[in-house]
Amino acid sequence: MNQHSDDELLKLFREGDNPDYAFNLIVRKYQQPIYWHIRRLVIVHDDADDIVQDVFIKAWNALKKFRGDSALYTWLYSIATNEAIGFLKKKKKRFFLPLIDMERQLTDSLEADVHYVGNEIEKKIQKAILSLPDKQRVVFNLRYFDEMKYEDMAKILNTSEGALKASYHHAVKKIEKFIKNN
Amino acid sequence: MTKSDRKELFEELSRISNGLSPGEFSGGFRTPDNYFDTLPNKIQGKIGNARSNQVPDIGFKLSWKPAMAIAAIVIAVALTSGLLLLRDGKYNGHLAGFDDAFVLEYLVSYADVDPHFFYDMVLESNLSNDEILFGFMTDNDIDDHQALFFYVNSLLDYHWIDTESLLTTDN
Repeated sequence: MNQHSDDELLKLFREGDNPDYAFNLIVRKYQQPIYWHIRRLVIVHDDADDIVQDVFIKAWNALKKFRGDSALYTWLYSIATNEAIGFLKKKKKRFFLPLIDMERQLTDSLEADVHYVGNEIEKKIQKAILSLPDKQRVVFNLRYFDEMKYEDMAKILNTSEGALKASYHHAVKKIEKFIKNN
Repeated sequence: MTKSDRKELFEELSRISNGLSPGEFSGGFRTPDNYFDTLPNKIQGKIGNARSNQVPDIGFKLSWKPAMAIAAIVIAVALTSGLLLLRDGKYNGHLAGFDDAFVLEYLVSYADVDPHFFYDMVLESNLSNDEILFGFMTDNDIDDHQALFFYVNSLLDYHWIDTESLLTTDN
């Protein structure tokens, strides 16, 4: 387990003899939360794998200019969220998919994914989550799975805490409704 | 969110879904074996490749600087004229010759708002309309209330959503 704080890692990256090593430590510290965040959005492992690599490559390229206005943790989540949402948008455009078909497409991917081993209830909740609009899905996942504070989420999504609370509240209602009706 | 809140939500979801047995909800995803052991090296490998394929700095700077400057000017002009049109209240279903689809796409891309998401929040949250509306905007986005009103209406009109009463301001 990586014991370095973000500040230590950034210092090591900027001032140390071996920035590659420092960056490797950053990857090891954040690869799992970032991967799971992406995976829950794009569903398929292969897609998540491509995106998580892109996220860290972008982070590597931008890290020299990273001023530390935000925490490394929220900064990486921002990149990951933008990359995952961007991927879904591109997918919609590529296949001319309206919202409802995109939901179906992701649900089908869930069913077909060999790396998905959820039980009945997990699958049901996952399908309910997939019925949410992308942004709402991000809010729900960050709050429910990552147990992220609204304060941090507001920085990542560039949205007010009030709007995020409302969004989460609404997402839960929608999920409940979906489960009741299915 | 505390662990107990999370557990409570899960239990509620379990109860609703025909009494399926409650338990810790992990999402059900897994990765190939040893995935996280190999990922850092894969990333380092890609970074190494990108570094060795880098175009020399001088060429990059010469070719990209003018292009980026032009792109920045074009974007700035487009955004400014769009906002000015909105601020002047010229939007009345069609914006200066552009059709609704164009306006929607432009606004959604610019502010990245999902109109359905917004509509649902207006309907079901306890927040005031102002709180919700401004929640979507960053400091540098539309800062005039009337412009914001036109902006949101343009999104909702496009989707034939009648929210006249909901979207009147609270002031």
